[in-house]
Amino acid sequence: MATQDSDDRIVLLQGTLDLLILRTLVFGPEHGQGIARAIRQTSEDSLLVDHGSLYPALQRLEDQGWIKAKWGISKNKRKARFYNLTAKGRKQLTSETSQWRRLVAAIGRILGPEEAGG
Amino acid sequence: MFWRKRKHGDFQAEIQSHLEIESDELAVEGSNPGDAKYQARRVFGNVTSSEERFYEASRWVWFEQFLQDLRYGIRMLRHSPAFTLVAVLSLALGIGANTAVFSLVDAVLLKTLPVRAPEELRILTWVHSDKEPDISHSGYNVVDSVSGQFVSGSFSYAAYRQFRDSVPQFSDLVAYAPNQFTVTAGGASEFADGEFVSGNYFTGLGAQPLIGRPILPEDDAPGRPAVVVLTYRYWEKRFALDPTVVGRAIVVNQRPVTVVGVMQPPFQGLYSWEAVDLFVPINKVAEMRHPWFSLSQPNSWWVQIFGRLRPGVSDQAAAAALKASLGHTIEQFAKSADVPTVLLRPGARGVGLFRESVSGLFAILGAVVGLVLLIACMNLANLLVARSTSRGREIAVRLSIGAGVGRLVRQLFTESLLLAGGGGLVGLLLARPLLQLMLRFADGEGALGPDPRIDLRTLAFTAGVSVVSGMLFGLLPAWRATRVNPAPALKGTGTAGMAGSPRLPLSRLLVSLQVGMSLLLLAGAGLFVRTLRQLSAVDLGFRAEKVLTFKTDPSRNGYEGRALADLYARLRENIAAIPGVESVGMSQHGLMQGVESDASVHAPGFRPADGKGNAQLLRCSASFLSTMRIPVLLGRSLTLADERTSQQVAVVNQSFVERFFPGGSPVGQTFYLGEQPGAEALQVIGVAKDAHYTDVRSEVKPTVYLPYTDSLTGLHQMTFVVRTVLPPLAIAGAVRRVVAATDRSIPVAEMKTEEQQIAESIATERLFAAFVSAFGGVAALLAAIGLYGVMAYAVARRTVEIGIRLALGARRATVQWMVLRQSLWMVALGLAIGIPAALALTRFVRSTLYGIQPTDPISFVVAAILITIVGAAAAWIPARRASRVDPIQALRNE
Repeated sequence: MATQDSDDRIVLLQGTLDLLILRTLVFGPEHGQGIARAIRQTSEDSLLVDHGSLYPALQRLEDQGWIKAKWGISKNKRKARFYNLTAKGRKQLTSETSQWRRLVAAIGRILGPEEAGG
Repeated sequence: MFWRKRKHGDFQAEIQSHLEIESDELAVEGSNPGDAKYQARRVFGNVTSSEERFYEASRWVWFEQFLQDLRYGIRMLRHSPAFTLVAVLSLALGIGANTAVFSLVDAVLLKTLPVRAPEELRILTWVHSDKEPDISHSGYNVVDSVSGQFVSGSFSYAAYRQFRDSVPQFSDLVAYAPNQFTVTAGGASEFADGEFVSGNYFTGLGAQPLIGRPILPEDDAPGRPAVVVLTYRYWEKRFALDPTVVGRAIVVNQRPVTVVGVMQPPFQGLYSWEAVDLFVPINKVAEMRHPWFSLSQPNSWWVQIFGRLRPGVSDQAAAAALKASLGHTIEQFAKSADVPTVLLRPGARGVGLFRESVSGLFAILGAVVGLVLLIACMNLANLLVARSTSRGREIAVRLSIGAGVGRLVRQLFTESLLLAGGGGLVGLLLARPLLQLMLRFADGEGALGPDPRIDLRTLAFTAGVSVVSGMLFGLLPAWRATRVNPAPALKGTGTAGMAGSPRLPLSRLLVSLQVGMSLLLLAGAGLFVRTLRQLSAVDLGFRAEKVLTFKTDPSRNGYEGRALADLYARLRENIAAIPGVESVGMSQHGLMQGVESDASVHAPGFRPADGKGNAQLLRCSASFLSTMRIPVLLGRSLTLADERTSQQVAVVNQSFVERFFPGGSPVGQTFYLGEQPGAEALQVIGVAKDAHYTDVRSEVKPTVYLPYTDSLTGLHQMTFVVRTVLPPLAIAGAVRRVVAATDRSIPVAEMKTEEQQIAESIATERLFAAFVSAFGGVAALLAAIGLYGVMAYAVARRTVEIGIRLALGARRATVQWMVLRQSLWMVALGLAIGIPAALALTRFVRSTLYGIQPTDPISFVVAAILITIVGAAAAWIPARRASRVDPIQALRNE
């Protein structure tokens, strides 16, 4: 169900949404609803994209020239705006991914080993 | 792509498609279609908010909002035209006055010379010391603002040549010497201010001609035909911008000279205060009959020098090289001991002789206009607060339907800036007439050089001042607006409530501050007006009414020595024959012109403590003292016979007797003028009553009146005084005709009445009195508007309370007094702020005052009474309105 306990979900950190969008688009063009769904499903329902931030974020990425948009037809025959990763966006994704990994590793080292039972 | 944003509709379509896809999928997953649509929306969240965020992320939104604010602001201002008018006019006065003063300051103090790379220019000066060379020098002496030393700016021509040839640290060294010329053109002879300039003057400075050519190095050589270059100003004034004047011969000092060019308008010589009319090559000093400028005399120092320092050369190195070079010329020509130290002063802004003295004047003008603008801003802040409070309901509505506080503040600020912009525009229109008015006061003849104009710099200044004042007065109302609590405001208690009505303590404080600052200005106005009265009341020792004066100088036309003395005698006779003329006199310097000659005096039995005693000299005709009605108290006055005799005689004044002949009768005694006793022996034939010589302010100094024929070699310019039985200006034309009939080529300059001359000599004081009074009045008016606004607002808010009081039996007089009392408290607080501030500040204008103290009680008391009356008058209307409140009406409103 779409309405789950929101307590289990993680609020996205500032700036991570951009990274997730770029990552999702690696598999090919997708529209906004598809991106949101993909993020939710790939994260096994633990990340919920706030749709209010999704579209401004898409707009931002488009302005940066990292993604391109084009109107097309969705699987269920609806008109939808499809987003596509540009070369510039791919580069951005690589650098942001490695940055993110370093950040996670660094924070992990500081926090130490996970406590049993969490 | 960069500037064409995605259309809003496109975005809406995208969201729509999102919702549709989502509900499709939900339906596939098993929800019924109706639920699916609803759930899709729920998951999405607030669509409107999302759309708004998209909209606000758009790059141009701030601009659209600004335009929106602007439109809204204009509408608001149009709704209350009276408020807008008062706001724009008071700002315009403040901004206009500031602009006017700025353009004056800019022209005199800030602007650089209109030449190539002005920052490379240096003014050459030398430092006075005890062992200065035995020379006669003209030019200027100033206290150097950096070193504090007394420096002189003139050199011998030989020194200039030596510098030019042997000091490689300068790429150009240009020489010039200010001089007055007689120009005869179109059948009239007039004085013109000019400069003798070296041949490289224009090329070295990099000043360009508008038409024709400048003076070139080859023009500045012996035997070359004489040429002259005009400034634009003179070309306009004297030749009506006639381009054919280039190539034409005009007569300068009775010599034919060819006009070769006209300079571009901004170039008016190297003095920042006085503009010149024309330039003549320096080699022509003898041809132009200058009495003592000499190219060959090593002891005659009259050449002023500007140098263009080569890049990378330090001032010290250049000054040292100049000193070495100067030592060479002095050794060669004057055999004097110590070589004076050469000091370089920055030359980018020209020679600023009066910079120090006028900066005091400008400081006062600037302080006055700054204060007026500040008062205007405070006033507006107050009016806007009152308005924004009465707009409380509107603001509350907007806040409660979701307007952001930041957005509201921006809106209010836009309104303030709109007002400021309007004020700035109108102020710009006011600036020019204000400036001209000020110049007319400061400078009766319009001879002021820099010709201040409203240019780009002024525009930038005005725009800056407008924006800053807009921020100043917009800040308070905007800040208050953010503190509106929507709930009570919407319930209606916020506008008509009786209890807990805000008392606007800040507004009241602002009004008190305005009152205080107005008091400061009014007290200042009082001081300056009283100074002017004191100055007007000074007994000058001569009678100025019904006297016409003018200057002339036939020596430039070739008259000299005895011939000149005879011409002067003939001129006096011919003028005296004009009907309506009572008597004619003349003197070397005019009275009250700020110019004097002086000399050291040695008298038998006089032993001053410092070994020196100076007296002012005035060479004059025998008829001068009687024409000016300066009475001779003892002995006799000068006679025509004294003008002819070889017997050296003098009339001295009372101060002279007190200083040099205390005790005994001076008549018949002898004293000596000059450094060594015996240089010039003079016999005292009479004692004249003390009379002012150079100006109204300074005390009468020991003065010697000598026959002008005393020294025929030094005889040139004279100021005539003509006592008439008619109004003096009525015979001005006749005097001109008589002079022209005697010799057409003799100029008549600066013709005016002696009373005008006195008024001009106290022009600064008149300017202050008029200027500060006018702006004191404006300030008081603004304070009154402020007080009225606050009180009217307070009364409006307390209508219900007043109605209840009246219904309960309060007397109308009591209510009226209640309102008046509040106003008077504000005025009293203003006085409590203003009086100590004024007492502390007025001492800075002490040197401008005359005959009164900076704490002059009369000025302060009058100012306090005035501002109290103005305050009471402003409060009277709201007080009356309060007393006329109809209790039934007032209570029905509730």
